[in-house]
Amino acid sequence: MKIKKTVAVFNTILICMLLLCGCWDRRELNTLGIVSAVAIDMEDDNIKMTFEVIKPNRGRMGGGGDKDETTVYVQSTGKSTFDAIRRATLVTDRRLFFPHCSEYIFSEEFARKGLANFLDFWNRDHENRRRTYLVIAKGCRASEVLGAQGGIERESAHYLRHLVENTHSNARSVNVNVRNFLMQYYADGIEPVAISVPSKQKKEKIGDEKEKHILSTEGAAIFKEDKLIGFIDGDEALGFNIVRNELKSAVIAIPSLDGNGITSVEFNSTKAKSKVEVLNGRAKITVNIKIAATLGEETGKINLRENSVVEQIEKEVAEDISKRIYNLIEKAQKEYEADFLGFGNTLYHKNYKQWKQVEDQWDKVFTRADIIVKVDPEIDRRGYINLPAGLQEVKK
Amino acid sequence: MSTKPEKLSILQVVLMLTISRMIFSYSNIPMINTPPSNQDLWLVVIVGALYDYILCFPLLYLSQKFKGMNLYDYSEKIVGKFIAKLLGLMLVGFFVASNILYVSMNTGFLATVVLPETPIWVTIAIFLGVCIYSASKGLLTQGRLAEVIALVLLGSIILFTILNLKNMHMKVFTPILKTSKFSEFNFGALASAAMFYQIIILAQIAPQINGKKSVLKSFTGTILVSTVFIIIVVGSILAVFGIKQAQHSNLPYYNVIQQISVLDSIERIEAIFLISWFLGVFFNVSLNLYISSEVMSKIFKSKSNKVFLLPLAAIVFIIITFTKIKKATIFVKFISHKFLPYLQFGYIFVIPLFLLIIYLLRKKSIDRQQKNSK
Repeated sequence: MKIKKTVAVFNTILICMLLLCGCWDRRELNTLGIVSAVAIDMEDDNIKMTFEVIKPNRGRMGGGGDKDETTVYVQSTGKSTFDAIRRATLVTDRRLFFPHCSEYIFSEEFARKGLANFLDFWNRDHENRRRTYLVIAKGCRASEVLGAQGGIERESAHYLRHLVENTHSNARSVNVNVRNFLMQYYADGIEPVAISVPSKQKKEKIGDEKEKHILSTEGAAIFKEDKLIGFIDGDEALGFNIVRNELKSAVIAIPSLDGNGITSVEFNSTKAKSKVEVLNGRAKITVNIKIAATLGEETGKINLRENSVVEQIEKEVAEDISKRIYNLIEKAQKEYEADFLGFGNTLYHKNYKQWKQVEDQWDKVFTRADIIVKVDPEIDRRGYINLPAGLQEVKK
Repeated sequence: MSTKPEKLSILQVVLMLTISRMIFSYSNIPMINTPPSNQDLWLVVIVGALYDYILCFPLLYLSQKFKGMNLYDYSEKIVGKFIAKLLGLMLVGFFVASNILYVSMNTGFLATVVLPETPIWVTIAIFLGVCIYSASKGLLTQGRLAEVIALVLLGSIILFTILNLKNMHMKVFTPILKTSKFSEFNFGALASAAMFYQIIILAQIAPQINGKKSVLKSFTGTILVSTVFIIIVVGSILAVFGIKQAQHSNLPYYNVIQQISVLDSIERIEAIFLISWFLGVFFNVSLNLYISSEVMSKIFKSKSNKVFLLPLAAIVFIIITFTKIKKATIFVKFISHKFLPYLQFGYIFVIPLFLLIIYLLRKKSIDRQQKNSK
């Protein structure tokens, strides 16, 4: 009996050793090309892809070669995304591996033809998450965005990723990944937006610094359904983030009350409430915005100890923000005829009955809608000093 | 000195049945595509739980009437040995089909995502081997195992939900009950209720549960706990992806977990999902195997159920390996609202209702027999 048990245990261990040793489906690091970013361009009706692939040893660990070269670029062309990816194995020695990919960068030309169909692979394939950022290369080929090293990060993909994530401290850009984009694409009464990045620019050379290129994520790309129709700039993106309740922090600089300086106000939080009403086929959109702010800098010579002065600054901020938002909505109505601010979506969620009445012609209803924007800022903090540094004394 | 045979506690039964019910919602969730297939799905789950009391009434009533007997035993008393054997074989067929469903779902995922180069038969064989071993250890072991697995499964759902809060858009749940048609909503609720085949397991293990009104308490406990967690799972999917994007997905909850990224450090934690999912499927398949082998031992009057474990698992192995059931399109049709709820509706409501009607017609003679046998 004891021998039987010993044999059974021995056999179990043997089988486990054979089956669980991990030889099947093994993927060694030295056989993989870890892709950090993908740039996707059109070329004669084919898809041309540029992959930024991380060199695991060189950059940080040393070990010979050019230590600045932390990535290599692989290009391939195919009839579809998957086809192009597999064709890359014909020109590179590593099998491309995508779970660590930070951005999918599409050229403007590509995006204008429509993105949704080309997002199929990135949703279907098991190596991809939907957290990857969706970037549109503004006015250039997607591959021209890669290769910038303007920050601390040595791989351009990580540099770009951190620029996108900086939206939480400067709301002049947007933070959109594949999931967010598709969610907007599938939702009623809202058009998608994506991150926009123009071609990399040469950075001003300072001291012995090597030649570097920088990127900027300022602004956003605007879509109608899945087709790119245009862009908004950084100021407009700030208004966009306020209306869409996606602002985490931002700074606006307005002329000082005495006309001799600049007042900088930091927004700590904003809360926008949109109300959409439809009467006889005409929509009335009211946006109420509450802003909690800090006075961050004052280069004029005004008495910040006086409540009336702070209230006057609040009034100026309200006017500035209202103006930006009116301009942004006007652009959405007149120039793009696309409700990327999601007022239709608000109507869908809050008054479904009215939404059903205008669902089919919402774009037209939106372009003719009456807009009311009310901004209520409150500057409740002023930092460590209560008078501008340049003001020597307050006249009594 | 005589000792009472050990029995399952109500908590153990609740956890066993909750795991068994949850594991379906944890994976493919056909409910996402079941009418009304909109933002009201979480309400459908709640109304479905109420429908469960109606659908499961015949079995609950019979279990209460025939205390100390399992489903097979009182079927014999009600409809006679021959028809009871036929019903027993149908039950075995149901549990085998259920195991085919769960094993192919699990191994299909493994073959696609984790082990694409490993032959699928290897995965199935290892998986079933472990399940046979677990089922051979009996119901009490399953009960104790449920306490551990439920902790992992339900705990991980709470963890995933908290970590995913920043990705959730609560406005997707509105407008409430505005876009659902009455008929579609009720169909969805009924389909959701019909998925609760665990009532059959409960009816079969009823004599082995400790305590007064144990069946009703176990049933209510399971409905409450599983409904709360299914709502959390379905709600998370809707809030993270919205209904249309979720409908595109084969494993929506897995995709939800892929979205977790907290402070750039807590991310890529799908491994926790896989551990709890595999444990849940392993538990469910073992439980189904145990129940079906128990019924087989009753049909063939065998002293032990263990001799049937291997053949029953072999059927599952052969069907998944050598038929087209593992083909994604066939599989999706099989689990969709157009097939599976109807099949389960037959097992959890129509057959028990048939037994209940026969019982009520023959009540006097059956009750007399019961008294005489006591």
